[in-house]
Amino acid sequence: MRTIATLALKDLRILARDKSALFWVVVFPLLMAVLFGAMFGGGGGRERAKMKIGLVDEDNSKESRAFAEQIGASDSLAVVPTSRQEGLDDVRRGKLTACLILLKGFSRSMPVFTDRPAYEVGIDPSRTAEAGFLQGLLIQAMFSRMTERMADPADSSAMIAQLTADLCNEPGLSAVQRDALTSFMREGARFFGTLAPELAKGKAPFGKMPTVPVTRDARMPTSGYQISFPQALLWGLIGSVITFAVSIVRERTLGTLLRLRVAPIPHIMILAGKAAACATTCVLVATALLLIGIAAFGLRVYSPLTLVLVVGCAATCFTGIMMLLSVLGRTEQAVGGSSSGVTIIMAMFGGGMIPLFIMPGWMQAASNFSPGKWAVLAFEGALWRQFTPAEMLVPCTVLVAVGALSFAAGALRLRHMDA
Amino acid sequence: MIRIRELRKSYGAIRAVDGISLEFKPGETLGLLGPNGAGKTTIIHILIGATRADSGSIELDGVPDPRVVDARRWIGLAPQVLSLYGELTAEENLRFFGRLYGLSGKRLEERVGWALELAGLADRRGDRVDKYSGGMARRLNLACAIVHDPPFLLLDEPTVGVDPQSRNHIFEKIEALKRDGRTILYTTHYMEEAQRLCDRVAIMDHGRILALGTVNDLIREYGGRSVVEAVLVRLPAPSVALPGTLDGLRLRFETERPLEDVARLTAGGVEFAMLNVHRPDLETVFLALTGRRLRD
Repeated sequence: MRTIATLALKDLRILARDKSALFWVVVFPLLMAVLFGAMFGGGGGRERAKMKIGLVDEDNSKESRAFAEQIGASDSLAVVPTSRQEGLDDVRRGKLTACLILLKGFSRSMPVFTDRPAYEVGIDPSRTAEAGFLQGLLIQAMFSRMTERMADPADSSAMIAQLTADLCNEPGLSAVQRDALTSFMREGARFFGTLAPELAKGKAPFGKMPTVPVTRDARMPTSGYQISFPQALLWGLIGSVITFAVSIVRERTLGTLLRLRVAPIPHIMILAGKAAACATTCVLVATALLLIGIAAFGLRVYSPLTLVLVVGCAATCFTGIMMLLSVLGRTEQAVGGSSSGVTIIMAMFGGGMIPLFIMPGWMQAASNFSPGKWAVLAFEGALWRQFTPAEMLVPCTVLVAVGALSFAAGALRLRHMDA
Repeated sequence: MIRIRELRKSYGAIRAVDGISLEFKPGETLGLLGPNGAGKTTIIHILIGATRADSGSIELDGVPDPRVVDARRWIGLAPQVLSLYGELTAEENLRFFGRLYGLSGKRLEERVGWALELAGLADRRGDRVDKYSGGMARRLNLACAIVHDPPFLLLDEPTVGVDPQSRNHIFEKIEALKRDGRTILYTTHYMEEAQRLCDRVAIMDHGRILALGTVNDLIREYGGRSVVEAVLVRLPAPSVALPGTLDGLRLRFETERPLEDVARLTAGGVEFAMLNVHRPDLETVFLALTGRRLRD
């Protein structure tokens, strides 16, 4: 045990003095965590994203201004006053999601049910979801505005009188139809007159989406960093693995391995020392990243004890992988190159670049073959997925098994190469 | 006692070691002298168990297999390649290798201090090795081999690529180690080193030992006679018999006893304007045995 510690401490001391290795093992993963965390929405306390639209008021009436105010008050929209040309150009350039144009005559057309359009919307045809969302918001605003007008008896009477006049002037109506319509509208005005006090109290808002209070699922990431830090942990492990895989070959090319082999220690102990150094580095890197995440980025840990277990399992797994990667070549360049290639693919399919839950189905299926996936999943399980012990058993078992098999295969091959 | 019998090792079609047998006497320095590729380093690798021989046997202090851990405890190796950790200091390197041999506490401190003194690096003990000159690193390479005080040293070309000052330092330290009674296997392709340091020398080429013996024995057996080249002041009297060939005033002759012959000629009235005596050395021996020079 003392010999293994001596060997491991030597490697850790060398690593601590190698600035470029330290960058890849600690700084690079941290940068990844911060960058991807910010991309995924950062700390979660930010303003909700709003759809940015331009508003052109060509009517410039009391009614159009009131409608514009209604639209501007929406939680979901950021409204920018603009001109028709400028607004449409900004949509084309992607600066605005849409441009809403309140047409001349808006106040006469807006109330409802006429063929004359009250407004136009310029929007990128590919943004169908946003178009539908905006249409819903406009209808909601329209009905809200109508409700407001109905709540005012004078405005309500004027609106119905104007509507009646407009309808009666429609060509093709017979005298009987016109009389019936006039009578209907008069009764309607009387009905809305009785309803006005209720509407004024806001008891019957039109077009407002009924909502049910929903508590956010606790098994969801509370911030972007909850997603990015497991990825960063994977990169930290990968950095450690490449560093130590190369260091085994370096010992051979430098000749220090020969000196170690002359020493009165079994060959397996040399490998055990290297493995101990790699595992210790994995644990230290994971601990450092987690502590930075908690202290500086508000990373929440669902189960600290489980996290300790996961760190141990991941360190075991990646130490074994290190041993296997170290036999992929006889030179530092060969092992460094092949290790980078293998681990990048491992990270790509393991959720180190794209979060697992965003991956397409085929990629998620393929990710099962990447130890990186199981490491990320296990870290997520301890951070925010709230894995039960039974749920955690699967990724942890996979990690330990992959580590043990890789170590055995690598050690055997290494022994053969050095014979 | 170290014995090597009929050792053979091939890499594909190349016979690196071809039936080598050697026996080390306790306290002697045995040199393996030969050009690059003669098989010297392969023998060392087989001796420490890093390379498996195709056939033959090795006995290290009664242990028949160098891969047995205890058999390696009393071996010190200074590999031909500088085998040091550049990121560590000289002291850290020595401590590390000392600990691998079970040294600790006061004994470790003593041995590290002793090795640093031996390497002449006591005042640079805290400097990183990658900042060292080639000569300093080569001296530390030797120090790391002896930090655990081994009785048997394997020194594989320990002066390759060093400046004359460091080279001389290394020679002096090896001579000191010899005086301590250590058994040393010393490989080199510099005949001057073998001549200065080794009690016996094995001349190697193509994996085989061509000749083995003391330097004097080898020269006597394979070196041939000394050659005397002289320019005379004037032609001597006809009564004086000159050996060899005379070309104008230039005289050249071969002899077993050059000094006696020159003294006899001087007594006969021969005056020399210039006199050169070429005594045979290991280079001559190697040339005689292989038909080519050591550094060809």
